[in-house]
Amino acid sequence: MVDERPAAPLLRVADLRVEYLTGAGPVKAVDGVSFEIAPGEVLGLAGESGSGKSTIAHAVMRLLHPPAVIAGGSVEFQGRDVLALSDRELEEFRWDQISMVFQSAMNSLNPVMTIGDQIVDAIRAHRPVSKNQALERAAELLKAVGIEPERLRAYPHQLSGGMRQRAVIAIALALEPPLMIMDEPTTALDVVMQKEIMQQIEELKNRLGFSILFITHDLSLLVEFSDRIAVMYAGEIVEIGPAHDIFGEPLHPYTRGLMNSFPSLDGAKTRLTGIPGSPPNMLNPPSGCRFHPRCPSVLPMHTQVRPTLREVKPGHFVACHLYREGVEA
Amino acid sequence: MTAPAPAPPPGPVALEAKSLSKRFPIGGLFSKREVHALTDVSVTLRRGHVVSLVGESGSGKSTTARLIARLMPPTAGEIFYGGKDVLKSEPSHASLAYRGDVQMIFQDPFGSLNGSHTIQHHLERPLRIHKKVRGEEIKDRVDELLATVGLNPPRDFADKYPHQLSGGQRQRVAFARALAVEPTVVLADEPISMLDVSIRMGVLNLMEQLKEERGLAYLYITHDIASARYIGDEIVVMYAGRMVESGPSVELIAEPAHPYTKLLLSAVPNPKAAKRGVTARGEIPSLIDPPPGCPFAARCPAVMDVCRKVIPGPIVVGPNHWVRCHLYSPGAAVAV
Amino acid sequence: MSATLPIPATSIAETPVLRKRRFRWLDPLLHNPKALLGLAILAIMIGSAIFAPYLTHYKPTDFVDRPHLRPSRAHWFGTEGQGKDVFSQTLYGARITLTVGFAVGVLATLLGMLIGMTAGYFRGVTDDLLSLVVNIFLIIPSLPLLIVLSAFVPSGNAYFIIVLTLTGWAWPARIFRSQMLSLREKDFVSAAVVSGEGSPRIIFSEIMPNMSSIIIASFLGSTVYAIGAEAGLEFLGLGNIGKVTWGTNLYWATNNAGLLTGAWWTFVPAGLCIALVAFALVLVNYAMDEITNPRIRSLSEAKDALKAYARRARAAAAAPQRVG
Repeated sequence: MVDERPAAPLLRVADLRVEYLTGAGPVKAVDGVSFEIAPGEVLGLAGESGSGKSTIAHAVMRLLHPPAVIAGGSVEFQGRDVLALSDRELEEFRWDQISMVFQSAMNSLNPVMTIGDQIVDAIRAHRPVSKNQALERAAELLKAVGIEPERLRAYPHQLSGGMRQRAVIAIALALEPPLMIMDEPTTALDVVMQKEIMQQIEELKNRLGFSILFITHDLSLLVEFSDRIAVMYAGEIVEIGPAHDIFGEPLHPYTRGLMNSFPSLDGAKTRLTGIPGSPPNMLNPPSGCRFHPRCPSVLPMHTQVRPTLREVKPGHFVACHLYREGVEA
Repeated sequence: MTAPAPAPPPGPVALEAKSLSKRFPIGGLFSKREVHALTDVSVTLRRGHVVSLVGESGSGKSTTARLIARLMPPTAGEIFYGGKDVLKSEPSHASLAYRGDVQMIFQDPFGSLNGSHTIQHHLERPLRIHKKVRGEEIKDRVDELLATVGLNPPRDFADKYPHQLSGGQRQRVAFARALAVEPTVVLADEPISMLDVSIRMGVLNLMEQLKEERGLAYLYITHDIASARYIGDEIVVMYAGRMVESGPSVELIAEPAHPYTKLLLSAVPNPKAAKRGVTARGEIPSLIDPPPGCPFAARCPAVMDVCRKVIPGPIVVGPNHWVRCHLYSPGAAVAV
Repeated sequence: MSATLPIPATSIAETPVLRKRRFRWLDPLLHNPKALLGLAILAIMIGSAIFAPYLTHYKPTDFVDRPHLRPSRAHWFGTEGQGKDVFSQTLYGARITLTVGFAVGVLATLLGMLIGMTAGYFRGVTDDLLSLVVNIFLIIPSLPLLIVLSAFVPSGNAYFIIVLTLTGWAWPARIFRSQMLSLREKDFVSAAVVSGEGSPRIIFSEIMPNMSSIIIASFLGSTVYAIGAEAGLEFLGLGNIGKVTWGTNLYWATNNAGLLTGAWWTFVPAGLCIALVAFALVLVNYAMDEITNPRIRSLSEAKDALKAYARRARAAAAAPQRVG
């Protein structure tokens, strides 16, 4: 299948590098990450603790503050250099062009303001509309996320966890940004609520056509939901490609290990091993391929040379010495 | 993948909880409102056997574990251990013998270890309290325990503080601490839900290995029904403080009876299955002074009038498989 | 806001190896400028108090010269209204003031810990009763209570210490109680209970170490309170005006018309010393906050690292050739 991506991607991240400066030395949280998101596309970013996935989201939104610094690379949104935006430009840029739903954002709603007020605030900060117009829009948004508009007057503590998360999504949608970043939006929710909200988000995406950068540690969520998946490990993308390709035929040993960590609901009970070892110490990451201490197929060369992303199948890239261009090891 | 060995028959009963209930009074001096956290929950734990307690938040699964661990007294019910109801024989606080036999693993690997003390201290205390070994043998025993849970070299880990270990390593330390007293019952309250995905299986496999080596009786509490099936011999589904279904894990998931169990299964991300929506909407009801009848009545797609009035007793639908649902009453018009 | 920095040509310095030294826990304290300043001031004050006889040959109660002499080489702080040397009064005055201050700091903290932690751990009826006692002591306005108590209580340092402790223990007790209430719910406490640990050991061995920063803060705060209250009472003439303390120095300064005659050197030294000691204690308190709260600490560490990084980046940009 020929990869048909429009000429200008919505978001282009090239060789992004983020470091956390600690007393013991710099921690390379993100070490040379590149990816693109096309308009209307859902890119899933999967990784565990220390992979750097949340850091990327914060870097794209320019939300990092010391001890984190962007040490290199570029972030372009619709051709604009995000890293060069002034504070003024950033204020206009955020929420209008890219909005973000944070992890347990439902707990970071302002407890002394009603939901309606918070949505109205977000709208009026960017658009010259009257309070009534903003309230009308807020009611529309609540309906869109499945909350009765009467709840506009409710305070966060009067809503359940699931409804609060929907309210947060409503706020993120308020200005209809072309790109929404969601950082573990459903992790704090029960599985039934999680499914409902995922369905809601998918329905909204299909209707309004925005792109999503969906960050999570739960790979199984991504397969149903995203167009492409990027798997991160120790600050790098180790595999990226179409969702069903990644799921059907994971190439990188880490991705394979992850797939081997989800017990199934049917079939005979087989023993799963997960991945032995622990996530790497980012203060002093392993030399060469960062996954080598935990890899079942490691060879001496892998401990010396860092692999780079190579296209192994159309649209499917892997950073692993076991694969050479177009050839499977 | 190795072929699964046939499950050994469950061993003798280690502990039996009967009709546990827990209510928390809320409101001030003059308000008589109560949160019905747990109502009429019974669990039998056998050696070499894992009972998985599955439910969402507010289902009462953690409360069940805390009651059996005797961290708080139940409002009603009995706990049979060593042939006696310990709530009657040692009412004010649990005896050392009970504490030496019933241990608990907590959900938060960081919160369950005291950041001010070394790992050595964490493992030494239970050994000393229960006088498991003589003073000069403590160091060796600590090393042994650490090696058993896969933390090698043991001395390196013993001298460290909790913040120097990863989440998975801390959870292994929690297991080592529990094993120090040589228990028969281990209550594991969501032991892997706060760990990275890739290391969860390692911890579950460790649990399984310890069960086989030592004949432990496990109560495994989780919201993840897939892991409940993986490690559990038996699954108990809880909703709003009550048990709604119970049966052998593989069969229960293959043929769920209770509408809530079906809802739970439909919501689990399953890339292999065809895309479908959840089978019911709505949210978990409030546990404060709940109305009579089945707690799932408000959301159940197959609700009947009787459901709102009375909750049915357990109805057998298969070998060792029962459900509390009027749809299965003898004489019910439709059995789903 | 994130900072975009040029990529340095040379690699960033290797991770320093943390060497094992005996008193490593002192390191953060000694590297913290606030702590150093505060501790230095305290050291000077305490040192002057201890070594007073060697620092001045005058005794504070001797009549050594004419009254209200300006500071001079003979009398560094001049003389006060009765002809006594102010410098020696300041040095010797530190003894009682600091002793009483630190003693009250320790006792109020201990009493607050005992009552507050017991109430917080056992809850129920115990908590209700103890909280009642705490609240009573909190409601009674402290200054009037101090005045009344010191009017009735015989003079003497010990009684003074007791009086100040009684008015100062309730606030720390409340803090310790609420801290205990929240720490008690932590999983590691439940784990200790399940292990069979007894209550006293849980309180002292498991929970208390996690309260250490609050305990130290409380001690420092109570000492500041004690010194201020002590000086205040003595200034009002309610202490033993025959003793030499900073507070009584101030009392005599006003009584002997130091203000009216413009003899600022009779009250400025004592007042300044009280302020300096309070300042030093507060500095050490801030420093302890920084040290024990990892988030504050990492922020200041990051600022230093950021500066070093920028310096290196500029140096690398200035250097013409690339390395490696």
